[in-house]
Amino acid sequence: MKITVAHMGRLAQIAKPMLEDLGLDVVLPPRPSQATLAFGVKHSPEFACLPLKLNIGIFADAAKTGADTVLMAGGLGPCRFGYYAEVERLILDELGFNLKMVILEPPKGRFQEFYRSLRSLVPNRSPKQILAALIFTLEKNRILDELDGIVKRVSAAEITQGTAEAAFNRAAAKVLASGSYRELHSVAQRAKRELEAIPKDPSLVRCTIATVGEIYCVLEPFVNMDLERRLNRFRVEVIQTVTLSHWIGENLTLNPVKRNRYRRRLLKDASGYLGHWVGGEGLETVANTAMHGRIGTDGVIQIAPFTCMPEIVGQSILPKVSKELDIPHMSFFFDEHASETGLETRLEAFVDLLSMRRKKLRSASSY
Amino acid sequence: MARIGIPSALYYYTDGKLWETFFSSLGHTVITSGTTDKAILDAGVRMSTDQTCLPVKVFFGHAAKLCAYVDAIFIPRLVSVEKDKYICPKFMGLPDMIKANIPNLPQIIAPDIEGFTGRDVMSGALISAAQQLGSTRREAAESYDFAVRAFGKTEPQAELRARNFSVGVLGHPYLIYDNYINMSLLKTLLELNLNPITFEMLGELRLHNGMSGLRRPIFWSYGSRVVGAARYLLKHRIVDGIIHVSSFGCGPDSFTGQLIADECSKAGGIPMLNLTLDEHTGEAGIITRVEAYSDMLARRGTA
Repeated sequence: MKITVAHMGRLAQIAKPMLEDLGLDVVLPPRPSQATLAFGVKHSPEFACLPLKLNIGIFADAAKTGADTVLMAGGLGPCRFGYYAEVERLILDELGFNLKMVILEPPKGRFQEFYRSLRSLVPNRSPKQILAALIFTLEKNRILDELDGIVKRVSAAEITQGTAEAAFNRAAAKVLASGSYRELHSVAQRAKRELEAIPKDPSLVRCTIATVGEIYCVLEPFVNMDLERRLNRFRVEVIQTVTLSHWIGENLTLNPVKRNRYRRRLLKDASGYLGHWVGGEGLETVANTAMHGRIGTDGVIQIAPFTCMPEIVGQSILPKVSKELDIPHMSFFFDEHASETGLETRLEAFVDLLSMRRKKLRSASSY
Repeated sequence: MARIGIPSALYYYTDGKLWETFFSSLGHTVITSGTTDKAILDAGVRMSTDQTCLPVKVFFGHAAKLCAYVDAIFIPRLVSVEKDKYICPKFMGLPDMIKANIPNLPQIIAPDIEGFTGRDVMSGALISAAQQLGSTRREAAESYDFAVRAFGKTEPQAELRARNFSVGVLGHPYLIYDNYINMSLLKTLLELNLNPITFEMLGELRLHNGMSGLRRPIFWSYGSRVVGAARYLLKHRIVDGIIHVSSFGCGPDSFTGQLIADECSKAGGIPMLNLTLDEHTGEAGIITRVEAYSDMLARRGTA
C-alpha cells in the first residue's frame, strides 16, 4: 500500500514523517501546478468549489507517482467538503485511477470512529504508539504555525527582505526532522530567537492586515497565489486567523467544554452580525473581522473559493461589520480563472488605501 | 394582533402553508409576498452579493417587498429539519444576511430550528415565535396541532407507473415551482407532452428507498431527496430521462448533478439534462434546450 495525502499548505509535509513513523509507505504528489489544476477542472463539476477541482488533479498526480491509497478527512456538512471523498472517488474511478479512499471521520465526540479508521490503516501498531505519533506531529505543526506567525509579522519590518523567510525555511526542515520533544523544543527556541533578532525598522511597516476565510484557500499558497507573502513584501504585517493548528485544536478537540467555549467566543465576537455557526469558517470570518475591528487592526482580507457557501454568508455580512466598526475589508474569491495580475493590483490598491488611512489616523491623534 | 409577513420563497414551498395556517389561527393577519416578478428579482439582486445563489437573491426581494406592509417578518433560522442533515449554510445565516442588507426592516422573528439530533423542533420554534407575538404557550400549541393536521406531511397518492416520456424533474422546490425564475418550465414540459415527476410526488418512503444503498448518506435535506428520487426512478425504470434543475453557484446542486449523472450512466445511459438557472436566464434559452431534449427523447423511443 502506497499512501498519499492531499496538499493543503504544510499538511502533507507534516503528515508524511508521522505516517512513515507508523510504518506506512508514503508517496507525496508534487506541489500542484497549472497542469494539475487544468486536469482537475476538466474532470470536475463546473460549480464544484476550487479545492475539489484541485484535489482531483493532485490525486491524479499522486497516482501517476505510484500512490494507490488516499488518506483524507470526512465531514458531516453543511459545507461540501464532507462529500468530497465520494465525488472524488466517483470521478477518479471513472478516469481509471483505481485509488482506494481511506476516510478519517471527524471525532465530534465519536472518537471511536476516527480512531478506528486510523487503526485500520496501521493494524500492527498499538493504540499508544498511534496516539504518541499523532500528538508529537500535532506539536510540530503547532510550532511551525507559531514560527510562521512570527515571520508574517517580522518580514514587514525586516531591513533586508527575505531574511525571515529564509530563517523559517531552515528551521522548518529541522522541526520536521526532529525525533524527540527535547530536540523539537530546542530547535523551536533557537528559531524564535533568530527570528526576533533579525534587524528591523518598525517605521517600514505600512499597515497591519488580518486574513480570514475558508481554510483550504487560506492555507494553500497555490490557490491564494501566496497572498500573505505578497503582503509581507508590500511591508504589511499579516495576522493569520485561520491556521492548521488552530483549526485542529478547536475543531478536533475531544474536550467538549473547550469546543463550546470556542464557539461561545465566536458568537460573542460576531454578536449583532451573525448569530449561528454556518459550517466551514463562516462564523470565524465574521467574528474575527469584528474582533480585529475592535482592536484597531488596519484592515481585513477575506480569502475563499468561488461559490463557497459559508463564506458567501460571511461576505454578505462583512460590509455591515466594516461600516460599524470602521475596519476596511476586501474579499478575494478564487477560482480557476483567477490571475496573478488581478490579485496583485487589488492588493496594492488595498494596501495603499490602508497605509494612507493609518497615517492620517495616527497623525490626527498626535498633538 | 399583528400583521405577519412570510416571504413566498425558499422554505415557503415546503412548509409555507403550515406556517400561514399557524399564525392566522392565532388571530394574526398573514401577508405573503406573492409570486416572484421582475421587481422582486431586481430588488433581490441589488441587495445581495453577486455570488449569492439565485433563490436566496429572490428571497431578499420577497422580504424587501413585505417591509412596508407588515409589523414583523417571519424568517426562521433553518439550521436543520431532520436528523443528521442540514439544508444549506445560507439557510443557517439567512436572518443575519437579511438584517445586514435590507434597510428599514420591521421586527424579524427568527426562531432557531435545530433538528440535527432528530428531535422534532418545528413545533417548539413556532410556539416560541407565537409567544414573542403575545400568545400563550397553550394557545400556540393548539394552533400548531391544528396547522399540522391541516398541512402536515401526508404520503402523496401519485401513480408512478412508467408512461411514455416521463421525465424526472429534480431539484429544489423553490426552483421547480417558481415559474418566474424557471421560465414556466413545468408548463413547457407539459406542452411538449412530457410527464414531469418531481421528488415530492414520490413521497418519503420511496425517497428513503432511493437514498438507501448510497455509500455515504447525503447530509443535505433537499439534495438527498433529489438524488434519492433519481435512484428510485431509475431503478424502477419509471422515467425516460432526468432533468436536473439547479441554480448557479448552488453548493449542493454542484454535487448532486454529478451524482445523478453518474446514476444515469450506470442505469444504461438514461439521458440527463442539467438546467442551470441564474438571474440572466432568458426564456428562449430554457425553452430551446428543453425542446431539443424532448426531441432527443422522442427519437430514442420509450424507456
